[in-house]
Amino acid sequence: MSEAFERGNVEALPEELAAAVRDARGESPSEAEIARIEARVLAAIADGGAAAARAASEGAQEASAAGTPVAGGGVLAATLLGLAVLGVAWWNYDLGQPRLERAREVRETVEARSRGADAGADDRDAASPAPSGEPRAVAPASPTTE
Amino acid sequence: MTSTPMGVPPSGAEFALAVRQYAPGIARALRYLGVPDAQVGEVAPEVFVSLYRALVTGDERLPLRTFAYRAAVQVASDHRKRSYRRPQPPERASAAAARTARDERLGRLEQALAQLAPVHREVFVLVELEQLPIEEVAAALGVPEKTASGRLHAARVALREAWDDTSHGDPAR
Repeated sequence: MSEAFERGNVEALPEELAAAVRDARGESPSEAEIARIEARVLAAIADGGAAAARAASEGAQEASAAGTPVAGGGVLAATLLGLAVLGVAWWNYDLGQPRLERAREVRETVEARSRGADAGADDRDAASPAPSGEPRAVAPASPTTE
Repeated sequence: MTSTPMGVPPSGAEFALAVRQYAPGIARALRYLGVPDAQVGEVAPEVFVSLYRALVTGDERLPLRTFAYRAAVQVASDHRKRSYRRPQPPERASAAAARTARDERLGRLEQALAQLAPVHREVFVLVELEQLPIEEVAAALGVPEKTASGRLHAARVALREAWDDTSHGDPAR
């Protein structure tokens, strides 16, 4: 195997294939799409922290509800179950909580950028549709993941 | 940023910068790893959420970029498995509208890549399209460098054959 081959020299490939590889290297999503990806990442991170908090709250409610109508061993079992649920929820929550502040900071930073990038990208898109030779944008966001 | 070790959580600004910095490459890699163009915007965030989780838990010791590409390979693999039952042709290759020569080349490249074994496709995309050093690709794929080099060699041979095959089905050729 030659050194050029090892280094990934596309010239070693057939000419048209090498050209395709170079074309592919130049592809990139639009600024607006990057901003949407950023926003989704940060929303997912923030949702993770909120979900842990909700789980803790629901766990407490379940434990309380389970304990009300039963007596003796039933109450103990329900209490232990509730504590277990709370423990798991708290473990998840504790894992994410110290980072929530940071995630909030990230989200605010990127949302501010996202608003700017969206506004800029929309203006540019409206003003001048990209020619076919330009890097293509990845597809618009699906409503299911918003 | 690329040298930031895992286990050292970045600040909010640093993580946002990492997402912005790597999103174009990750989106491109996902596409050529077989995620349909229309779904890249949905799938790419999974990569960065995975990166964030690894940062929080400190489970990984790879540089951020390397881990991001590792996550991209994994997410793309999962996506291919999920959509195995309903395979779709590459969008660009199936577009009926008139295309430029560049679009046609890219469509053929997608078709040819789709014919490669996943391990060959992964190493080719990371080395040739993303232009990562072979040692970083090996780390991202979790294999020794020699294995990665061997896969790259095999990928190039297979891709040449697949590339020729894509021209046979094209009536314009």
